Amino acid sequence: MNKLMIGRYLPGDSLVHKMDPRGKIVLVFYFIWLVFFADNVWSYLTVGLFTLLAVLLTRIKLIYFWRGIQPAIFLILFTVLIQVFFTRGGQVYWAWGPFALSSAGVVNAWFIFFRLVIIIAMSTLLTLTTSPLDISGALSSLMTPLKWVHVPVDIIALMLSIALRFVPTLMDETVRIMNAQRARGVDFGSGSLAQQIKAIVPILIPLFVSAMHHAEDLDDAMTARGYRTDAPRTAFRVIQWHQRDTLSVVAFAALTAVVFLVRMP
Amino acid sequence: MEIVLDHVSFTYQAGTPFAGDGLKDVSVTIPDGSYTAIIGQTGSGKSTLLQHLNALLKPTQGTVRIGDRVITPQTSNKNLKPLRAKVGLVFQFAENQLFEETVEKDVAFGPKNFGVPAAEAMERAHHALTLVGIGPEYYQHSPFDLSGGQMRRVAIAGVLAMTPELLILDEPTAGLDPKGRKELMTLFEQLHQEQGIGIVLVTHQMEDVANYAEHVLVMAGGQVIKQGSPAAIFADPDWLHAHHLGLPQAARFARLVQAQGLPLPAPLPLTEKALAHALLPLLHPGKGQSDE
Amino acid sequence: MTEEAPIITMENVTVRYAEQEQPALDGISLTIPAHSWTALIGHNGSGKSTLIKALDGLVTIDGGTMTVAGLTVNEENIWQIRRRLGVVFQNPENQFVGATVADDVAFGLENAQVPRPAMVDRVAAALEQVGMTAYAEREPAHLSGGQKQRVAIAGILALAPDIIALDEATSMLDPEGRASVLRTIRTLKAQENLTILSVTHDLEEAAAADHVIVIDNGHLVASGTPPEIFAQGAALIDMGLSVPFTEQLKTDLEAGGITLPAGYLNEEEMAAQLWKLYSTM
Repeated sequence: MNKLMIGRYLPGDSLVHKMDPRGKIVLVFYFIWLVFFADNVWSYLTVGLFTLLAVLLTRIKLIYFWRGIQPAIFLILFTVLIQVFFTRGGQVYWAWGPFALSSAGVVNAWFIFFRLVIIIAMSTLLTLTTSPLDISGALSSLMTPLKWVHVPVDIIALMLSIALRFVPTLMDETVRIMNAQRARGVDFGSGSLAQQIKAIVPILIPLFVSAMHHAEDLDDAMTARGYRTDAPRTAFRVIQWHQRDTLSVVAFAALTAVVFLVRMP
Repeated sequence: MEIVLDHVSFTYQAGTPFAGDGLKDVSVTIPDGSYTAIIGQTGSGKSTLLQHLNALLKPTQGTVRIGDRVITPQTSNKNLKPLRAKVGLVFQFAENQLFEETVEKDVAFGPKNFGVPAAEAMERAHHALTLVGIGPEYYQHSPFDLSGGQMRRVAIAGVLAMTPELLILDEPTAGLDPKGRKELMTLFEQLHQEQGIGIVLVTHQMEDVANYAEHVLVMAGGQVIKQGSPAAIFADPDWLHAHHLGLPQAARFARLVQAQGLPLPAPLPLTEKALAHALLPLLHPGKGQSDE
Repeated sequence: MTEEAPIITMENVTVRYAEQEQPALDGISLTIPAHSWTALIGHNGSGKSTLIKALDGLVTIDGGTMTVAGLTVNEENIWQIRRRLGVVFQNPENQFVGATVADDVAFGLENAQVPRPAMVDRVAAALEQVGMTAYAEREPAHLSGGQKQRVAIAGILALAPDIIALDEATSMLDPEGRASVLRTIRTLKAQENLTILSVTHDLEEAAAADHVIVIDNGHLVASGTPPEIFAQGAALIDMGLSVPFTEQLKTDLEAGGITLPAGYLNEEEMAAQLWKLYSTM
């Protein structure tokens, strides 16, 4: 659990940390799209170096990015192997039935490998440098246009923020309830599948009951503090766009230009 | 059943927000059948220590001997179950562990897990419910229809039904009103006196320590920094104050009276009864030694 | 204490919960003077919390009338009343809405549609008053129970209320947390001229109040100054409370043949009496 770096946030003070989360999210998705246009050594080298630069800018140890890639390593190798053995083209070194080892296959496999590593590294960068709170705030902000089609964006945003806020609370509670039931002789993680499913009931029900209590109390507390769904609210937390965000957009534009210039004609 | 912790250290997995709430080189003995109180600030390691007493946690270093079982960092998680029937652990806000459809089923859950046949488990459940003062009219109720205080009792019955030799209580009266608190503390005292069940009580109530405990462990920063009888622990109010711990009300009042000039003899009375007993000779005409 | 105009009045208020036979509040009438500290005591399930919720419109009443800060409690006034009366609830976890301390303090201000620049100032000021400025950016998971309750108080304070109601706000805290919350409330009461209505089991807290109201099974059974209430001795136990320490000691000393003045004595008074007895012998 501690090894898994996807979705983990490492607080920091770097340029990347300080970026506008809306900008960061949009740019990372844009980047992933852009990577698919890379089709030769030069374009891959460009996006690769760009990723490396971004990673270095976070001032987070490389090992954390590696941990982000680690869980996906089998998926990557599997994809690479398929590319290697099923692509034919150029010089064929070896062939057997549907399988073949060709120069085009090897080159393609390398590209796929790089593409996946780059994409995962960039997504890991997003979650490592952006707090869940900022991500939820940014998503709500990006959803604002949906207000025009009467999507209750503000309510969704508050729900998202409260849900995130209660994640650690409910995690703690799960551990406590599990311990209490273990103290009453429940074995987790042993026995048949049916036994294991049965062992979950004494956790799920108390957890559900407790979540309901949280919700009821929270409802009272929010109402007592003047929250009403039918009235407009002002916002305390605002996301600010800085010059550095404009600069990063420029950097991505430049990257796009380079990628398309060095692409095969 | 005696529990001996020998140079026990425990470190939580790195990355948890509350790192430091572990144990550092703790060596203590919980004597067979004793009433031990553990005091200390929140985050001093009390809960971590408790979970070593029934092997919910295994030490990172050192050994824990529970009766004749020795738990080391290498001990496998299998076969620890029998220990948990002997050492019953009541968590804070224990009512949060209730889940069955009826009160009696929930109480019988523990014994059944330990392989007690259904009929006997139910019998034990009824006995435990009687002990905590929940009458037969509630057996078929859903535990969620009871009041908070009743739910707490049912949860405690659920641990008692396992017929433990040692009962570990993590702030068992937190959030109850004074009457409910008093009733529970009396129940634990009865179990201790009449059935010889050992008690380990974690509490912030110094009055409970003074009234019931035979032995006190003081924890701070994951270490046991002092242990002894309540009289020994409360003999040094300044030391307690420095560790953010208080005196029982009777002792605090005794100090106030001493400050006024009344020559209360040492040791400091810890309970209201002891205080009255110490005051009476001083106030009775003829018996008091008026040295004015 | 000097009698001030009542800031809260209840006239024959009854609340009935759907699934229960007995009403939670059964014809309660009371007044609470402005700028006073009133302790509301009674055993668990006596109806104390329901009383607070009724005042804040969180449960609907089945009979009677109430006023808060001069406003009749009804559908029309309730949102105004909620700005005049802030409630700190029992469970610190369940009233922390914001993702961080500052966000949480701002929650009420956002609801009141306070413009952001003013909001930033008021959040900072409120955090300063409860001594939580250094924690402004912290997330609730990294706070103690006492700290969370102080954040809840800051959230109320930011709206500049007249009354703060504490619904067993310290019962889930450790002694340090409890002391810090009560200290904060005492200071604020003096600074902001607040009225405090506190539901509590803590006799020491009740002993320091101006007024004590005892609720039992939805009825108001006693009301008076702490000495008046605590002089009832053993009767308090029947109401699910405990006897104050000095009363208990007095009973035991009197059983031993010592005569002490009638009426409730606090610790200082009791110690002084004992000294008097000893020194005049």
